[in-house]
Amino acid sequence: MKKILCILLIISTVFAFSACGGSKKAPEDYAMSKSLIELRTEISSKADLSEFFVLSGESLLDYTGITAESCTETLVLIPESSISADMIFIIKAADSDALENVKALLESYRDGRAAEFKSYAPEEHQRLSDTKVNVKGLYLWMVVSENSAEIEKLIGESIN
Amino acid sequence: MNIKKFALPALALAVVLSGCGRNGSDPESTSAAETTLSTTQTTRPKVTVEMPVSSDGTWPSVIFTVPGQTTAQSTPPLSTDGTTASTPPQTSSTSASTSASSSTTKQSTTSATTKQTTTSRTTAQSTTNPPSPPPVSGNALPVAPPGTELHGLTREQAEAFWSDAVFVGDSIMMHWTNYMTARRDAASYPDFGGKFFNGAKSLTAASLGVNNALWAVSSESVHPKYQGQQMQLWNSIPLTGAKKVVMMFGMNDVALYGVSASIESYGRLIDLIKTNAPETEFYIVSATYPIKNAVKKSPSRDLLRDWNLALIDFCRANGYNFINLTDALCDDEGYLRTDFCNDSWIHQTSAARVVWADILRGYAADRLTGN
Repeated sequence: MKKILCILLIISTVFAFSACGGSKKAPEDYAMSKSLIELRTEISSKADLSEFFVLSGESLLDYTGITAESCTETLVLIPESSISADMIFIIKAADSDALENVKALLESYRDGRAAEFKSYAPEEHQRLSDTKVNVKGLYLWMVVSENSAEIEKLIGESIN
Repeated sequence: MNIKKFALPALALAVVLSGCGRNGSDPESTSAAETTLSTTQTTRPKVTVEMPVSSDGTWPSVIFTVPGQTTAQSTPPLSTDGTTASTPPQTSSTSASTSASSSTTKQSTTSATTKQTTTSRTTAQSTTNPPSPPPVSGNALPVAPPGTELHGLTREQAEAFWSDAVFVGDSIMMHWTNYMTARRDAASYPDFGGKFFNGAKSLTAASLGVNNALWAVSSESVHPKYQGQQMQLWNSIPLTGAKKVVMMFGMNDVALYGVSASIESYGRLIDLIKTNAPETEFYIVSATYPIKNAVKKSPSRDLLRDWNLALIDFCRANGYNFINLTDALCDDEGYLRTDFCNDSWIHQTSAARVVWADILRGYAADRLTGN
């Protein structure tokens, strides 16, 4: 009887833990559960975007070096004011190769802005230094905001 | 209880448990948690700064040390062409509160494509009736600001003068270039129809000055990036294809290096640009002033005015074009108007950029029509 119980225990344990590890999902299979317009509206409830403007296409290339060919979706907002470190980058890379390149460019943009603030706005410098580029599938996002944790969570939960 | 009987099942259970769980950094693995890749940070040498302050609030020479060096001032970094730069002091200042004000009102309509989402806005900027010239105070520069009359030209015709220009400079110039870029988005600013100083490029960076513009590229330098790559201005300006360079410097120079040394650096910088872009025309914009009783005392209005006076002489001696933008933004005491300031110091609001746009159009109209 005890042996049967032990065997049943082992079998049930094996089945219980067989769910570990999650699904093998390709990066291309991740998608946004909402449109970028909807996402922007939700973000605007957590951050004042009234002084922000959109970077896309030529302006995104000029400001960051990110080419239109390397991404299929973008929502990039930066403030007009040069003395604010705030920024919201949401980008879907074209493929895995582009993903690494876009990530490097985002980090470079962040580090460049951090260097600019180092001498006269140390708080902004620190905010940028504490910022990381998040990746899920082919999506990247980088947020500098008063409510960056909430906004990053909002973005991450929108990608499945 | 016979413990030995449970040994084998326990061992099996242990083996099963050890095979569970995956590496959380694999972006393909987890279905619940976000995947966050840690990013490496460039290690920067720590610089200690001694900041003695004089009784009048101005900054004297900065004494600083860099790891590995025992002298009070570091060896100037060499740029790739062998020119040396002044020592790179760093300032440590209290941060000013920022409260941006906007002259625009926002509409709720939205338009979107698969690549871009925007929110349309109306603008308060007039495009048919330019405002009267601003009052000029007793501290006015000897070269008056350009008028804002377009002499029969349309807004777009006047702005076309700047279509082959690149705007170069510091954080104050950066706000102008951001302002310019923003208004090229037709969905956000339908009144401009997607056209606002179209063609004009920008190479700007906060903390940039004529002195640190001569530094070598490093993790400490703040050279503006051209399409994501940091490079010195004499290398990036030719890549923009610009024939006109509109430059604004001073606020990050005069308190640290003085007026004379900074004028010399300005000359060296322009010479380096001309080496790679000999046909370039230079338009030197005056440095703008802080508000009265600004939260930061340096650079002072008077020092910046001395800088502007020196710039006027510099331009006359070298045949460069000088544009007095400063007095158009001042109150009757010769300080930046408080309603044009967004940080209780020296940086400007979008309302001030309306004046910038009018001045630049007016200057262009004068040049295009021979007025």
